[in-house]
Amino acid sequence: METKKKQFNLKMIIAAICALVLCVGVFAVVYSKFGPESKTTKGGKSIAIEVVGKDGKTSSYKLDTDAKFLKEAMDELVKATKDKSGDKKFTYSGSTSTYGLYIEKVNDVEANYDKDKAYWAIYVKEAPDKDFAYGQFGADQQPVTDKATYKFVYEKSEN
Amino acid sequence: MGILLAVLFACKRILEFLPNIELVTLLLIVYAYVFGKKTYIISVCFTILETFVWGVHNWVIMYLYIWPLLITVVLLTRRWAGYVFYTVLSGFYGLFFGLLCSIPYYFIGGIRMQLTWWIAGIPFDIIHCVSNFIIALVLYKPVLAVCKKAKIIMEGNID
Repeated sequence: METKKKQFNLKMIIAAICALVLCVGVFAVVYSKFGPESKTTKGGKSIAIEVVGKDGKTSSYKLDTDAKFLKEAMDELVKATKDKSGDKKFTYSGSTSTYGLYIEKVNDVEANYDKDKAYWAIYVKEAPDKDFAYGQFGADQQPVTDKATYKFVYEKSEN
Repeated sequence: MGILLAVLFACKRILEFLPNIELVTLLLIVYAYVFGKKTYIISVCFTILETFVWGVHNWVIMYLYIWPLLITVVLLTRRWAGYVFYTVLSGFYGLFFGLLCSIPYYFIGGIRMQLTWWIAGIPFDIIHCVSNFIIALVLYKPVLAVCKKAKIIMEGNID
């Protein structure tokens, strides 16, 4: 009787551990199918980056890139426009936390949430015939796709 | 209770530099197993202390249901469950932590926002699962022994 109980317990333990491993596998598959990595494509991509500043003025940039995520494309754009001036030059800075990259400055315009509840919002237009949608990822997790437009908009929270 | 809370809080702060590697899950499991319903008070005080350190954010809401939920599971199972069950539970809890945390995002931005937020964090949930499992596997028994001894001392049943 005691041996049977032990065998049953052992089976339960093995089943529980198998279930845990199986769940990890399922989660990994979900991530690979639907996670940010899955939306990236390799190869030459033509994208546009727009910046709508505090004054509502828009600066537009075109970029051919192999970047997988927006941050990489932004870094390339910073390099590509470093010798330019005015609204042809693109710059940004931010801080990294466990939540990812938090953009604080774009084109030398600072959005300070603590001071005036301002922040840089990211909007994404995945194709020329689509509308802009509020970005679901931070710049370091936003996938870069061909013919997409990424717009940084200076916004203030109403709360 | 104060000492238990201090240990919990100190362990959380010490391991903060490692993403999703924590002793809070294990300690709350053991506390709930040994000290019962009083652990709810510890978990709420822990959330308040964390809020003093990090400020009010979405995670405060998450902490207010995530940890009490874990305690409830332990209270419902502690009559028959033991080392292996809680080690596996610890792993599952780490794995499903992101999914549980994503619930407030359903009310903020709908199911799409909730799922996007959850899926983007799956790699961290897998780290959380593996680390929780290993931590419980190694530390459950010694921590349980110490807590049982502490309970005997607290109740004044020691010579």
